[in-house]
Amino acid sequence: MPSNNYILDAVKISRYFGGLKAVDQVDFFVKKREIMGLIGPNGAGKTTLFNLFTGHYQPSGGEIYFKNEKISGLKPYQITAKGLARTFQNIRLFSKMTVLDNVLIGRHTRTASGLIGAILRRPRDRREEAEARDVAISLLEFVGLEDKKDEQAGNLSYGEQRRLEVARALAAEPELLLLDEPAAGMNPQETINLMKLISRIRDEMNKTILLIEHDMKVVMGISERVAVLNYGRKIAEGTPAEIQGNEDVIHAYLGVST
Amino acid sequence: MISAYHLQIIILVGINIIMATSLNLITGFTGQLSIGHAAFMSIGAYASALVTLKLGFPFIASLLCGALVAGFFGILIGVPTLKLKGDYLAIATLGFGEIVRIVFLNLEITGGAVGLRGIPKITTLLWVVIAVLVTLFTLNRILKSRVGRAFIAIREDETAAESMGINTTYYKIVSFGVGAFFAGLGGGLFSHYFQYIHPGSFGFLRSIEHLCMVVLGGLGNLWGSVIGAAALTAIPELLRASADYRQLFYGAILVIMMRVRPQGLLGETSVSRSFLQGESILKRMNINKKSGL
Repeated sequence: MPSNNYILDAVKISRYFGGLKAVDQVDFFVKKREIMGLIGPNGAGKTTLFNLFTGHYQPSGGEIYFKNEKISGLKPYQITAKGLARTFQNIRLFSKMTVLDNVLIGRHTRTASGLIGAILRRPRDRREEAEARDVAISLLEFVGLEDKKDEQAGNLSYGEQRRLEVARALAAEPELLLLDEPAAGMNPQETINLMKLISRIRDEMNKTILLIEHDMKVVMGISERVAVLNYGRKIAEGTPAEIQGNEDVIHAYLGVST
Repeated sequence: MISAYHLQIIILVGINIIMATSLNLITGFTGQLSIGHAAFMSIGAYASALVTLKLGFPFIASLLCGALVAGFFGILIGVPTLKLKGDYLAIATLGFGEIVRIVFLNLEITGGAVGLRGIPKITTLLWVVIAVLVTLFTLNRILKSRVGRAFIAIREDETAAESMGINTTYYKIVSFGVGAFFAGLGGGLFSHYFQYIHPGSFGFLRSIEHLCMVVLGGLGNLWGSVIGAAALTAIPELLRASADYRQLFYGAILVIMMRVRPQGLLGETSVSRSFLQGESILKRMNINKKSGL
């Protein structure tokens, strides 16, 4: 078991779908409090890697450690409880619920009321619910959606839905936040606001952030470190400047054979 | 004074409200299609009748006993079946319903095909009203809590729910257990009113009837199930005069509903949102709001 200051450490992690090596022997780590970018052409295995980290897929080989504790093999809800939350590439909100309720669901792992509490509404259940509400509202203020709290999540604009997903993930009080293409479908102004938001999440909330993103302005603009996947393998890793000058990366993106 | 006939209909409406709202918890709010709800009702009916007849339990204890046994079976069948989704779960619950019916048909203690007779008539209108209020109060509180939010999240997007830290299997089983508990309560009221139960009282068609009430009132709307249960209990009785055409009307109402308003009478949202604002009705009739309306 590795012991280091990496918040997330994947060792020789693989995931095969039949004969397809979606993720192949990837070593991957994220340092505490950094903003790290994960890029690669379509089908490179980025989202598969995310799904391995969050427990939605079980690895075909290799192990994943979160805060020096093995998490590969755990269920997604157990991993969330340990402090790792995510957003989805294709937004997955609870669209018929209100904006506020979406964020309240994010509080699930940080609250404890069960059936008895639901029916009796003891003082501590009321207190817990009130606290959850306060946290949820302050998170909605943080992402700028407080005036939409009673709307149905499905009625929000695309950019708002992406921000709501971020607020919902933050409600779980994660130490590591995984963002899967947070800028997809946003207009330039929304993208700039999103970049500011991501920086604030790290600076003001002390979170570590790993993001998949196709928008190079975003990745290169806010990441301190970038890793590149291609055909399930990690082909490069380094600062944005290093990555931009890396020949393998340029070839992977432009399709020139080496 | 109301006649005995009308009293019977009102009591049936009450029992069906309990059945429909408890099924709505499972199917409408948690999104787990169950077509074996009558099985839980029968378990509650038999269990409560048996403890009354054989052990002389007081009524409240019998009712509670029936509900608890039904809830226990809800959890028991939930464990293996709730890993199934959609149609597969529906077929599993259907199979469960048939198994329960056939077990009652063959057990000696439940009187086999003859069923149980001579159950004392203890259920009164007051008991039914209290039971309905307790059911509505409890379900409403559960739905407006952390647990209820978890149920709805599972219906909306199971993958996202799990990502937010919800143990989806656990909450599905809880939903099934609570739903079965109240179905068992309904069964206890039923057996202590009609005084006679047999396996045929709780067949597949009764489960479908419960599902129709939920769908008519609106999946995911508790008050919708109240209306759905009242309507689908009372309307067939009103049509009793034209007995031959009763089933026809009943079927036609459902077909028209599904065609015109598939989300049910009250749909997802409250009456005020979708009905009074006329949103979906106007849209459906292609009336443009700018054209003077």
